[in-house]
Amino acid sequence: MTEKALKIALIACIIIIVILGGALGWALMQAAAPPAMVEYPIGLAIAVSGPYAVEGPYRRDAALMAIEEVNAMLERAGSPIRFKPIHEDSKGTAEGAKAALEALAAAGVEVVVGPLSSKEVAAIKSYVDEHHIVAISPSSTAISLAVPDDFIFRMVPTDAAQGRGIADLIWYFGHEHVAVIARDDDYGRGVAGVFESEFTAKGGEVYKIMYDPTAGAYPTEVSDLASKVSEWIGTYGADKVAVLIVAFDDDGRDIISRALTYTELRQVHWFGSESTRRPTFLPPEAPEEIAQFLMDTNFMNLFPTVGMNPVREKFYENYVTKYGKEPTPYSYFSYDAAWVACLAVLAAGKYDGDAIKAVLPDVCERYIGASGYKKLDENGDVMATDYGIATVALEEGEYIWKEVGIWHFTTREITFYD
Amino acid sequence: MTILPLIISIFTFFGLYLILSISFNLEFGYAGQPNFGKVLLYAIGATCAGRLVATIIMLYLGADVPFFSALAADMRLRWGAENPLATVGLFVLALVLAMVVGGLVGYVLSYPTLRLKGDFLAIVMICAGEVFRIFLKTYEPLVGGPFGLSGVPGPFSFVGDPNLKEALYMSLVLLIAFGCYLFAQKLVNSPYGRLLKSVRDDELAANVLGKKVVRVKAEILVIGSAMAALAGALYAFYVRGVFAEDFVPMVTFTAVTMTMLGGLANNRGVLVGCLLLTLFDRFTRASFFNMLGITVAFDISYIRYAVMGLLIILIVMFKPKGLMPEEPVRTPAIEIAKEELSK
Repeated sequence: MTEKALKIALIACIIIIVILGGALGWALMQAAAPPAMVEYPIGLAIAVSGPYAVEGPYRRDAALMAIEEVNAMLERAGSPIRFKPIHEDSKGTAEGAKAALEALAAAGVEVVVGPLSSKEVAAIKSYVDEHHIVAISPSSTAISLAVPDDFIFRMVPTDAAQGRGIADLIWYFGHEHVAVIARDDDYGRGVAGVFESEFTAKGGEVYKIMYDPTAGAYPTEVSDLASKVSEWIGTYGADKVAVLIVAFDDDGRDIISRALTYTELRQVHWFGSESTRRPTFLPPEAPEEIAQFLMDTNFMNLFPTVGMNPVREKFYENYVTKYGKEPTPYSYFSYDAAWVACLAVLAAGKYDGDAIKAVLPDVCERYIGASGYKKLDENGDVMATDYGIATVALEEGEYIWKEVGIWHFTTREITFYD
Repeated sequence: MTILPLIISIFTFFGLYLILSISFNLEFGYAGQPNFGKVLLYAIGATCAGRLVATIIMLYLGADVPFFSALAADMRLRWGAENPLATVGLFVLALVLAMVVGGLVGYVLSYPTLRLKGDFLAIVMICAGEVFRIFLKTYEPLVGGPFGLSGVPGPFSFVGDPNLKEALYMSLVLLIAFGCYLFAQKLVNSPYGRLLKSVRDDELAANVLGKKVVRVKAEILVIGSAMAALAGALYAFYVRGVFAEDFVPMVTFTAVTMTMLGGLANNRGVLVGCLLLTLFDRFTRASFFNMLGITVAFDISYIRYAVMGLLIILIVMFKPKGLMPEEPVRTPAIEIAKEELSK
């Protein structure tokens, strides 16, 4: 072998050693490095404008908080998985919900928290079914949407339970004539409709005033309500008459602030739908006169409850600390919907709509969240639970919603704590 | 992540609003009739199409399920997927019915134009739209009241792949919108276009010259209304349902803004205005930023609405004639006049 050939062989050996060494080093570095981060998007199709301009942001914030908590938990575990929230305003309309879902689908979203209302859910149902996107609504309650084996899941019981509960509660107090003033939308009609059929079946009489929730002011409707109540008081006596209001924030406050001026409306017992259990009806978000009126008329409403549990307490504390405001009742459901969405992705082991849909019922069956036990029925809706009965109380100079009793869903019995 | 749903969303929305804006431009831009009741005709078209298709399918199925339930909606969609020819036939029938009913309502709407003008007419038209929306929401037997009617199968229901199905429908909407655009261009660049402008600019003078002003107004409202109803029918097949709360005055105002941005009495301008506002709406969403890998630290929804409002103010202040101002009618007469002038 010549000297030249020896040199070439030596250089070749050095090159091979360098390449092999580099490759080995790279492989060792890869083995030692933490695994690459994986980020899964969670769509939030939550309306923050239109009919949900007041309350929608509370629910969005609750869902965002849930995702933050899941991410913190994954970080503690050293997991490479993170969830990324993408919020789209679904505007509370069918068109807005469809556009939001299309935008989220384009962003590669396979699981969505929302939409909020039943009409939005109805509008996106065929879209999510075809595209295999899981939608978890925190507040849709329409009975007509209870369909098995679809991609829609709902975290709150349907209107059937609430309507029945209100009818039982009003009947319990011996009121036989009820004037209902309700939003003329999917929610108002659903609750008022079930209530009417349940209450008339007991032998009661119902007078319904349905109002356009977009009108903004309701002087005619409140005047009509006062006339009917006045007529009934004259015929049957005030203790036989009650008022049921099915309203959201702005419309509810407008109705109550107008009702203040009618003596006859102050004489009867008032009841409200679950949507009236909001801090927006109490000071500082509402005038003190409204809270006082609610106290004077012994206002009562129902809300799905499990009583206070550690998750609920922790959520409440964290929410107040983080946002400086109290969560609305539906914020609890929104928070749970986001938690369940993340847990389902983790349980599925892959980011795929079909897989998430397959494991979601099992995840829910083993999940007790801020809004209670989330076991689903055959339609993918949370099974009805008991409802807490709340009234307004003044404690230490502050108006609060105070739970005073419970309506048992299975037995339809009412128990008051005092 | 796939860009296709975004493209479908953009161009379907663009096509629907192009038809609506062109119909408004014909009525207001060219003929001076401020039909701010565009949403009324849009809603009528959607109602006719949705209700007709859903009713015929349910009659055929004879199923004993509540008409407006999600179960019935699923049954209708399944039927649509299994019967392609019948679904296409129903689609065509629904479009024709929507246009005929829309045209008839447009004719009825021409009566207020005899007595009212300008702002007063605009207010009456807005009210008419609101009355119909409230009627739809209150009267449940028509389209389910506040719950809405879902499960209206589109013409491509038989296509298995949902993205392909929606892409095909988008193409169809764009084709129909382009047809409307060509029709409008042909109409306004004809002696009839000059007649429309004469009615808009000086009704009295047009009358004195022997033009039948009342008839012209009725005709253009029939044409514009039929087009708006067509857009409504296409919308019903797009969302596969009819929801009363979708027919708010904002629909009219969106079409008006698109027309104003592009340029009144200029169909090319309307096309540009529609495209710009659609792109603005879709490209300022959190999802789009996420697709680009950009994380927006705040809720962009509110900023979007504020910027949109600001845009409208700026257009009115600095570009009142829109991006593409009105052009002369392009008829042989104007070409001859141009030649004569150039000599």
